[in-house]
This record gives sequence, structure tokens and C-alpha cells, in this order.
Amino acid sequence: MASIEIRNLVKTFTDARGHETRVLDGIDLTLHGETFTSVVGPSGSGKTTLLNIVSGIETHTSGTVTMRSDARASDDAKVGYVFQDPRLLPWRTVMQNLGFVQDVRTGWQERARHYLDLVGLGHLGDRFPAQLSGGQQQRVGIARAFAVEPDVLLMDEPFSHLDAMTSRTLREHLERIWLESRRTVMFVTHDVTEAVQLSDRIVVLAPGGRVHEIIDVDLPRPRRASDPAVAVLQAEVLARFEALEAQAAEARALAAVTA
Amino acid sequence: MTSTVVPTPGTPPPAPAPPPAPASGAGPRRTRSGGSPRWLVSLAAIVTALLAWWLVAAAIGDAIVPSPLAVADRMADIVVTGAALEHFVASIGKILAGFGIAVLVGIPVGFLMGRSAFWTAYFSLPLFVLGNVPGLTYAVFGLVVFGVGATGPVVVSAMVAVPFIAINVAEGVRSVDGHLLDMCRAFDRSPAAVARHLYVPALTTFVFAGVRYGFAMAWKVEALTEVFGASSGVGFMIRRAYQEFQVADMLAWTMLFIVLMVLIERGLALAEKRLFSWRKDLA
Amino acid sequence: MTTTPTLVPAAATTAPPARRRRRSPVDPVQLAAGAAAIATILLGWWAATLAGDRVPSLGETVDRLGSEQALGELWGNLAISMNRFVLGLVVALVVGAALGVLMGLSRIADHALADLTMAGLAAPAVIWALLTTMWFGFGWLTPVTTVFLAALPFVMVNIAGAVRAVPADLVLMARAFGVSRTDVLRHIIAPAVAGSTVAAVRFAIMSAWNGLLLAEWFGSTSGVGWRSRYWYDANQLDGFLAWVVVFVVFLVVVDQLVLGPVERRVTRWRTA
Repeated sequence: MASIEIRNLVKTFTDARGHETRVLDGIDLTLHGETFTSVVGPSGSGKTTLLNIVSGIETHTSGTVTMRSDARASDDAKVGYVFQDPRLLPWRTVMQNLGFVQDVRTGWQERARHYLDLVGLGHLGDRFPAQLSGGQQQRVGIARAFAVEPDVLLMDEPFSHLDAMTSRTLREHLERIWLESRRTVMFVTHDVTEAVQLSDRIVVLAPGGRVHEIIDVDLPRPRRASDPAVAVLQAEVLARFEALEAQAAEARALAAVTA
Repeated sequence: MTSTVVPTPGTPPPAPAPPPAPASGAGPRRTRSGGSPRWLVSLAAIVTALLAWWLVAAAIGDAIVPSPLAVADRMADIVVTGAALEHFVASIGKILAGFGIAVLVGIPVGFLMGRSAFWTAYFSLPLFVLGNVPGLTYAVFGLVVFGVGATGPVVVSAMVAVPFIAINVAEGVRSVDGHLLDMCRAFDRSPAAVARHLYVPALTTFVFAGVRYGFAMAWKVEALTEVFGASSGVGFMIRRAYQEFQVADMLAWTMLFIVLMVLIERGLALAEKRLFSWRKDLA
Repeated sequence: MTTTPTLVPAAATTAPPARRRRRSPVDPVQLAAGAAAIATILLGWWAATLAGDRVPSLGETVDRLGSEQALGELWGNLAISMNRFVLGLVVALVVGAALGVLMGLSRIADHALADLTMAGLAAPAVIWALLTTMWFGFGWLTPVTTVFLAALPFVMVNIAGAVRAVPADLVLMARAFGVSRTDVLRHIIAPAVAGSTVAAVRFAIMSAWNGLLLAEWFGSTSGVGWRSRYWYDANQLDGFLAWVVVFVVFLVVVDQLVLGPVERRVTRWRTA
């Protein structure tokens, strides 16, 4: 599998007037292979920025990010990415969309179809995205990321734009696929209960871009949202999260007054 | 069940891998458009163009390529003597008359089209022809059928504008939300109320859009028709200048025409935004 | 910035007949409507011949067209005009695409060229025809330059719009997955731009054709525009009308039979 090592990662953002904001303030983190790690935090904690840096979409100011893959000799770990919006090429069919992100020209079809089946869309391979619902499009996005059989899977709040029922169904799909392949996953979300349901570890970022705490989730899999054990843990984690948010709100108010 | 683990840097970090390749060009641009403001660049470009023109005119030295100063002089003259006012008013008057006719014809046609696939198919070819017949044909047609005078340009403007109005009205009619109609029925609204509160706002929006898009097209064809057969208006003046080999005059009238058209189009766009801002939010 | 909207009516939405749903590519309703439309036009023409005293009838016009063809004037002039048209158009497409891409990618270029492009869009083609006639006389340069100037602003505006509309989020997605630049170009940028490019070509052709006719009317001794003027000057309106038919048929053929289907094919995915 693959692991991600983040050492002392800093990202500062300078706006047009020269003000510097530290979005990430020295993140030290290791994501081990075959674990599902969620990154949560109140808004302003830099979680999406962290994900973008790991994926290469954004550059960082200092520090290192290393992805080490057992299967590959080169540094280039294969990355799969699921965005908040499906980002499918509207002028290509579902299967063609899955093919677009593959490295190889041939032999990917079977693999792709397998993952499409896993999300329940095996029969819609020839449709255009415009013919699918939002939830179906997002499922295609998930299948696409899995179908490249990446070393590392990065997901940026993939269910935040969907309704509750669809999200619940998709979480089940996601867990089912993940159990099959056990890739290293980094999953950003603002929904703490979702994080508890899906992850092995939850990294909580504080505003200002620091790691506040890391919570291990030791519940057996597969997990059902209706399981009482899951609910208990969710309540606990939510309480700690709310405390953190209250702290952050206080700090903001203080900053506004003293500014 | 939970344990808080603060990750400790255990083994010494490996040799730092090269940072992930920056997404050159594709990454989110953090730089604001810190370049010069829009008006400055525009001005610089226009000044450069004028300068280039001036150099070319000076090099050629013949009145057949007049210098920008000569043209500017003529433009000032035209405006000051009131000739501009007289002829632009004449031209625009004809266009307005033409648009008036186009609206009278276009609304019923558009309404039929919007409600029925048959009428859409029926009108599609004639409207296409009307919208795409070359200006030359219109101009000569106007002259031959109506002779010299104002009627030709008015009729031609109407003919060019009708497709814009009709198609937009059809769009407008189709856009009247079926759900809203159901709501009206559920609340037992009278046909007059439905017309007033549902159809009229939709129609006015689309008629206005038709006017906006059709205006530039109609004016160009109308001006051309004036070149061929009118006794007043911008086209007529351009033609006269051409016959007298007064290139500076031709360019002067053309410049005024362009400036005025751009101003009117901007004005229409602004009006559309103001009057129909509720629509823009939905769109 | 004035945008040039699509005037051409959208493909008619056809309601399938209530009972039998025929799978034929030609919808009977559309065919009937089209035939009715043509019938109305011909009826209107016939009424005009009665009402006006100079309007030639359909029969006379067709006769004249036949005799032009017999004289060799029909295809000869058409060929000459085509040469000029294609030459001016190709140059306008190449230059316009280059400038349009520049405007789409660079804000500075956009600011710099926007006003000139707008002026170009607003200028009536007749002025180009008249000016080039004065400057270049009766040679081929007059019509070709007019075609170029008439088409150029339309190409620039539409291509710039197309380039600006390339969906950045899709490009980001591709980069996240490590897709190569050529694949991004081929599968994202090209399809995104294709639809607008066809629209650009359509508008350019309309404007260019208009410009060509005017330039040949005022300043040529051959070609479609010149020949129609010949009949007009001779006060033979059936001749003039015969050539109007040629103008219109050309446009209909190019737009509906060539460009329309190409555009529909390229934008198939929008309404799939």
C-alpha cells in the first residue's frame, strides 16, 4: 500500500495588500497504509488546503509531504481524488470518464466496470453525465477514483452537496468499496458524525491550521449508522468538537474586539 | 474507546522527497489581476491605434487616406452644425418605427410558436431567411419596392427585427412555468390575472432581449438601406460623402455611428439589468 | 462587450403524433410545417407580383436563372466569388482565432482589444466595401479585404468567449489525477471550445458573405455581387431576383445542411 508523511507543513497565503495568513501552521502527520483517516475541523482550519497540497493541486510554503508506495519504485504515488462536485467531463460517457483518468490505454475497462458495479451503476456506462442525477454523478466520481486503483485516495467533502438520504447510501457504498481494496484514504469533512462512521482515525484541525488532536476509532466494520456503539462515539466526539468550535468562536470574537 | 494520540516524530524523517510538482497554470490563481486597470489599458490601446493610423496617413499623404485629425475635425463639424442630430434622429426614428412594427408582428408569431410545435416548425424557415438574408438584398428590395424615402428603411428594419422578437417571445412563452400555471389554477385565478401576472412579465423580458440583440443588426441593415435609397439619415450621408470622394466625411459619419451604437447598446444592457434584475437572479 | 447570440431558431421541438410513434429520422409534423411555410412564401411572392408593378414572378426568375446557367455566368461567377470568400474567411479565421485565444487567456490583451473589436462589430460592412473600393480599386483585394474585415471581429469575440469558458474545475480534476497535458488539451479544452468555435464560424460566414456581396456590388467586375448589380443597373429585376435566390440558397445550404448538423453533433452531449 502507501503511506503519507507530512512533516512540519506550513502554508502561508499573502493577499493583494501584503497581509500574511497562516493557513497551515506546522502540520505533522502520518497516514499509514490501509487506514481510513478523516480530517475535520471548523471552517478556517485549512483542511481542504491540506488535501490540495497532498494531491499536488496547491503548493506549500515549507515542510515536506512524502508519499511512499510499496508497489511503485518511483516517487509518483498514484492519486485518486473525489471532489465535492462530480467534475465529470460532460461530453464523455460515464465509461469514457473513467477511462480518461487511467494511465493505461487498454485493459482498464474490466476494472472500471467492476467499480461501477460496486456503486450500483454498472448498467449506466454509456450515459452522459447530464442524464444522471446528482447522486449518481457523484457515485461515478467515486468509482472513477477507485478505478485507477490508486495508492492514495483523497476525498474532499464528497457528500456535502447531496441530500441526507443519498449521502447515507453513498457512505455505505464507499465503505463497501474501501473494505474490498483497503486503500490509504484521506477524507476531509466538516461532518463529525460522518467521520466517526467511516474512519479509523480522525485528525482534528484547529483554526489557524494546527493539529488539535487525533482520535482513534476502534469500532468494528462494517459500521451501520443505526448501531448504538457508533452513536455513542459520535456523541462523544461531537461534544469535543463543539468545545473546540466554541473556543474558536471566542478567539475570533476576542480578535475582533482587540483588532 | 477513544484515545488521544499526539503523533511523535518517531523515526527520523526520510530524505525529503521533492515537493509535489506545482500545478503550473492549472492551480488556483492566488494573484489578483494586479495588472493595470481596465480603462488604462483600453486607452493605451486606442491611442496606439490612432497613432498607427496617423503614421500611415502621413506616409501616404493623400486625402484618400485621411489623417485622424482631419476625421476628428469633420466629426466636430458635423456635430456642431446640427447635421449629426438631424440625420441620426432620422435614422433612429426609422428604426424605432421598424421595431414598432416588428413587435406588433413578432409577438403574435412568437406566441403561436411558443405554444405549438407545428407553428415553430412552420415559421422556422421564413424567420431564418428573414434573419439571414444579406443586407444587400434588403437594401435593393427596399429601394425597388418603396423607392427613395423613409418607407424602405422602416420596412427593412421591421423585417430584420421580426425574427429576433418572434424567437425571443417564443422562448418567453415556453418559459412560463407550468407549475406556476397550475398554482394559478389551484387558486382559481382569472385568465386576465394569469395574463397580467404571468405572461406579461415573461413576455416583456424576452421582448426586451429581442430588442437588445436585434438592435445592432437592424441598424446596420437600415443604414445600408439608406445608402441605397434614402434622402436623410446616416446611410444617406455616407453615400453622399462617397460620391463626392470625401473619405474623411465617410469616416466621420461612420465613427459617430459606431460610437452611438455602442452607447445605445450599453444603455440597453444597463436598462435590462435594472428593469429585470429579478430575472437575472433566477437566470 | 456585445455578444452575438444565436439567431437561428432552435431545432423545432417535435411532439410525436399521439398514436403511432414512427422511428423515422424525418418527423412528419416538421415536414408538413416546412412545406406549408414554403407554400406561404410562394403565395406571398405571387401576391406581390400582382400588387407591385415591377416585381418579377417566380417563373420569370427561374427562367432567368436557367439562361444565366446556359450563358455560363452562373457557375463562373459563383466560382470567382467562392475563391474570394474562402480566402478572406480563412485569413479571418486564422488571425481571429489567434487573437481570440490571446484575449481569452490574457486579461491585458482582452482590455486592449475589446474596444476595437466592439467597434468592428458595430461597423456596417458597407463601409468596408466602400473604403476598399476607393483604396484598392476593382481588383481581388477589395472583396477579400472586405470579407476579412467583416468576419474578423465575430471570430475574435466568439473564440475569446470559448477560451474563457474552458471549465477550470475540470482541468484541476485532471491535474489531480495526473492526466497528461496533451490529454487535457484533447479531452477537455478541445471539446469545451468546439461548440463555440462552430458558432463563431457560423457568424463569421454570415457576416463575410454579406461583406462579399457588398464589395462585389460596389467594386468588382466579376462575381456574384457584380452580376446581380449588372441586372439591377439594366433594370432587369428578374435577373436581380434570380441572383438573390442564389445568395439565399447558398446561405441555407451552408448553414442548415453543413454547419447546423456539425454544430448539433459537436454539442450533442448538452441535451443528451
